[in-house]
Amino acid sequence: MIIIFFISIAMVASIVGLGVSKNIIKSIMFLNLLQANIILLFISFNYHEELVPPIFNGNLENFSDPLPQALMITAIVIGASVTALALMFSIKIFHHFGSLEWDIIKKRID
Amino acid sequence: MEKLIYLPIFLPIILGVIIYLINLDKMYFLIYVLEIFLMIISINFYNVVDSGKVIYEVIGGWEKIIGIGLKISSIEAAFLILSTFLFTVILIYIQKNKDHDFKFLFFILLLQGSFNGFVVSDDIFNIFVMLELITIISTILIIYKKDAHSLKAGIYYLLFNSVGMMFFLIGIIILYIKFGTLNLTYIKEVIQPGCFDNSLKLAIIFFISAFGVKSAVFPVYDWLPKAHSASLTSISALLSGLLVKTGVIGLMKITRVFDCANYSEVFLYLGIATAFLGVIFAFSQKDIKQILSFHTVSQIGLIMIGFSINIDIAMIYLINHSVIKSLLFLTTGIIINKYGDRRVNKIRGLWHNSKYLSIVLIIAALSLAGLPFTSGFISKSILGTSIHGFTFILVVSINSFTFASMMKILSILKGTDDRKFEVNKRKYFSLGILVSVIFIMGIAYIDFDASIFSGLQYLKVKNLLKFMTEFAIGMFLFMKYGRNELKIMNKLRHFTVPFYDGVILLVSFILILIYIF
Repeated sequence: MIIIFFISIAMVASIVGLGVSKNIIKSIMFLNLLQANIILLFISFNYHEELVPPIFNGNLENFSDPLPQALMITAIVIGASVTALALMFSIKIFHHFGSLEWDIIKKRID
Repeated sequence: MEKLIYLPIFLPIILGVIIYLINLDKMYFLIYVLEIFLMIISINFYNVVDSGKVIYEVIGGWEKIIGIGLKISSIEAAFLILSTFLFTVILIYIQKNKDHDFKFLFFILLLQGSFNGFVVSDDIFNIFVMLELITIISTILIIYKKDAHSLKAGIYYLLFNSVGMMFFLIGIIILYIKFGTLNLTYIKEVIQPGCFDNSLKLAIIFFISAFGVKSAVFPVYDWLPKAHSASLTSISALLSGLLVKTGVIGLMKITRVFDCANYSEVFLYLGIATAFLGVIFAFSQKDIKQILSFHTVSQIGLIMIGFSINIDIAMIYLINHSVIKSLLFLTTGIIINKYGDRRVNKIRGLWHNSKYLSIVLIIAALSLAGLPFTSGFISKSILGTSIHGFTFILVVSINSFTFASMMKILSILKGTDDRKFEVNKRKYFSLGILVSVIFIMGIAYIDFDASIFSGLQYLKVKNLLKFMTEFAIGMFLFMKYGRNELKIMNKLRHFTVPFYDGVILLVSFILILIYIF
C-alpha cells in the first residue's frame, strides 16, 4: 500500500507542476509525469505478491488480471502520440515566436 | 443487423486511407457514395431502434464482460444521422478548394470514423481511446494553416484536453476496481439501486469534469474560442457543430448508466454559469468568429440546462444548434475570405454585394436567436416551457444577449462596398441544404414520435411573446452598447486564461464538484 501513497504524492505534485510551470516543454513533461503515475497506480492496485503471470502452465489459480496491463499499454501509446504531437508543435511555435514561454506567446498577437 | 455497426466506424477510415495512398482527385465521387450509404444505414438503424429495441454487438464475439461492446439505441442512431449529415455538407463545401488537399480529406474521414466510433462504443475505455483520437486528429486539423494563431490555439487545445482526459483515466481505474469490468451495459445490469457510495461518486465527478473540459463548461471553457476561431472555416464548422458535443454525448452515456444519482442540480448550475458567461463574452467581442465561438459556449450551457430537466430537450436543442452553428460558420467563412478581415465594424455592404449570402446569414443568425418557423424557435420554446421562475428569467436575458450579438453580426449587411462575390455553386449548394434543414426542422419538428407539421404547435402566444420580449431587449442592448462600448467590454474582449491558470481552474472545478455533489 505504501507505493500507492507515493504515487498519489507524485500525482498531486505533477498536477501542481502543470499549474505553475510557465514553459510549454515543462507542461508537456508534467503531463507525461501525471500520465505515468496514473498508469503506475492502475498496475499497482492489481499487484499482490503471490500472483503469477497469466501464462498457462498447469496452474489455474492466482493468475494476475491481464486486462489492466492491456488497457495501460493502449494508454501509454496514446500518451506517446500526444507527446510527439505536442513536441512537434512546440518546435513550430519556437520558429514562429522565438520563445516557448506561455506568457510570451500569449502576448504576441499578430 | 448487428454486424452493420462496424460500417460507420471502418468505412470512412478505409476510404480515407485509400484516398491518402492513391492521391486521386477523381475519387471524390466515392466519398459521396460512402456518405449516402452511411446515411441509409443510419436511418435504417434509427427505424430499428425506434421501437425500443437495442442493437448490441461485442467485437470478436466475446462475452459482454470482457469484450468491447458497441451499442446503438435511439440516441446513438440520431447522432449517427447527424454526424453523417454534417460531414456530407462539409465535404460538399470543401470540394475543389485549394486549402483542402487529399491529406486534409484523409484526416476528415479519419475524424468521421473515430467520431462514429465514439458514438456507438459502449465500453468506457474505448470511449477514452476514441476521445483521445478525436482530440489528436482535430488538433492536426486546427493547425492545418500552420500560422501563428492556429499553432497557439492548437497546442493549448491538445494539452488542455489531454489533462482533462487524464482525470477521465483515474475515473476508469476506480470503475475497474469496483466492478471488474468496463462495459457500461454490464455495469448497469450489476449495479444495485442505491449503491451510490463515495468511490463511485468520485469516479463520476472525474467523468463529469473530463466531459466538461471536452464540452467547454464554465471554468474550463477557454480552449474553445481560441481553437474554434483560429482554424479553417470548414474545421470551425465541424468543431462547433459536432465535436464540441462529444462531451454532452459522453455525459448522456454516463448518466444513463449511473442513474441512481441526482445530477439535475449540478447540470443546472453548470449550465446557467456557462450560458451567461459565454453570452456576455460573445457580446463584447468584435471578431465575427470569436462571437460565434463564444456563442457555442453559451449554447452548450443552454443544452446543459435542458439536460438537467430531460434528455430529450437536450437532444433536440443539440441537434438544432449543430445545424445552425455549422451554417453560421460556413457562411461567415465565405464572407471573411472575401473581405480579408474578421472585425464586425470593418466589413460593410454585404447586402449590396451578395443577396444570397445576406439572406442565408439573416436566417442563420436569427434562427440561432429563435426566429419562428425555424428550428431555433422550437428548441428555445421547448426549453422555455419547461423551466420556471428565476431560471426562466435568466434564460430570457441570455437569449436577449444572443439577439444583441447576432444584430452585431448582421450589421455587416449595411453600407456600400464594391466587391463582387463570384458564385461558387458547391458552397452555395451546401449552405442551401443547411437552410432548408433549418426550415424543415422548424416546421415539421422531427420529433421522435412526430406527426408532420407538429413544429407549428409551438406557435403559441406565450412563446411568441417570449420571442418578442427577447427581440426588444436585444435590440435595446445593441442600440445602446453595440457601438459605444462600455469599458468593461473592452476588458472582457482581451481576457484570456493562460494554460497554467486553466489547469488550476480545472482542479478547482473538480473540488467544487466534490463539494456540491
